[in-house]
Amino acid sequence: MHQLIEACHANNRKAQMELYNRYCDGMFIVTKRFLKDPFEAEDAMQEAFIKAFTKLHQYKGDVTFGAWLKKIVINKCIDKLKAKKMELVALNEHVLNTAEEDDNWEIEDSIGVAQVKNSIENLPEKYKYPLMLYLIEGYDHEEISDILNISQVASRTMVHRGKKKLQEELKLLKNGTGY
Amino acid sequence: MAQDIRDLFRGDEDPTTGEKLNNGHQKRFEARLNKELPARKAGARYFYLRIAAIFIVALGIGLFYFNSPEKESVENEIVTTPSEENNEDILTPEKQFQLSDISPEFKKIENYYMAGINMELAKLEVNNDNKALIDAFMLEMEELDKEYQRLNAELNESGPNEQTIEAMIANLQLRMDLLRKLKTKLKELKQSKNKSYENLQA
Repeated sequence: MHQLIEACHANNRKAQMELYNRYCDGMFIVTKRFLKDPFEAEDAMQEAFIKAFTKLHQYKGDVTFGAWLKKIVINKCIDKLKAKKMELVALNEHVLNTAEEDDNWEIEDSIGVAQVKNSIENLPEKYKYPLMLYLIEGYDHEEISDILNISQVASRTMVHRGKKKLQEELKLLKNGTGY
Repeated sequence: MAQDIRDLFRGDEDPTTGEKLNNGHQKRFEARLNKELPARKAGARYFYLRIAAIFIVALGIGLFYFNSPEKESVENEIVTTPSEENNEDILTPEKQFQLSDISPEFKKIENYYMAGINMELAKLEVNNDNKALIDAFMLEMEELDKEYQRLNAELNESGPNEQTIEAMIANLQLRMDLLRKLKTKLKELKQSKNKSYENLQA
């Protein structure tokens, strides 16, 4: 792996393609989650790869290469979303001063992953992306605040509110379908 | 029983199955790579080196041709002029076309001094009495001219620069001054001779 990265850094085309082939499917899933449109997702994913190749010297090996790459990919997605005027968390900090937090992540047993995802999809964007980063991509608040360029307090609040909304939504959904 | 959403996502590693990349994505990526990260950076570097080398060679050839006709014409000048009587005449034509290459302004300055010097030289009356003085002066002038030639060569080698040009102008000025001094000396000589002649007659 280390040698492969070195070769990529030396602009070895074969090594770059090998690295691409190794990670493209996983990274495409990530971009697809954010951007929906498969062409846009592929575009963002490939751009992220090229960016990663030019910044390989910054990869210090303190995390796995996949995790490092994924962060670049997600940043690319956020950039793309911002370019599309995503109304992202331009909230006043003082409104968010109280990081309302509880640790209640419970939902009804019968609800499946697909349903949860679907509900997240329908959330307002300012809750949707922090929640996605937290739940699906598995980032902590420090990382989310870094990616979305918001404070950690804002990240906590957004995730919390998103979660509340999600829980409500799922409850409604369940009642609505008359389970 | 309730379940935790977090566990839900922790459980399944890759829930978004069936998300496949469109066909030909590798080709598209490779094309993109070729565009954004052009292959063989080293090659590109050599390419620039090659351009630089060609440029240097061209410069060298240019300099060679630029210098050689000058030398030839200098030699021509020397070959043709000895038929004329005065040493000074040999040296003056050389100077005229060298500084003038740089700018019309210098050409003006040079021509001004050259004309002045030539005129003064033409007015000189050489006779047995002042011959020694004039010869000494001519030697001095020759010395100055050699210096001038050296400056000119420097100018050709390192290109026009302020110091060399200033030195060349100073050189011309010095010659002019020298000439003036010579004239006053000659005048004095003449006068003193007249006086002594008068005294003799008286």
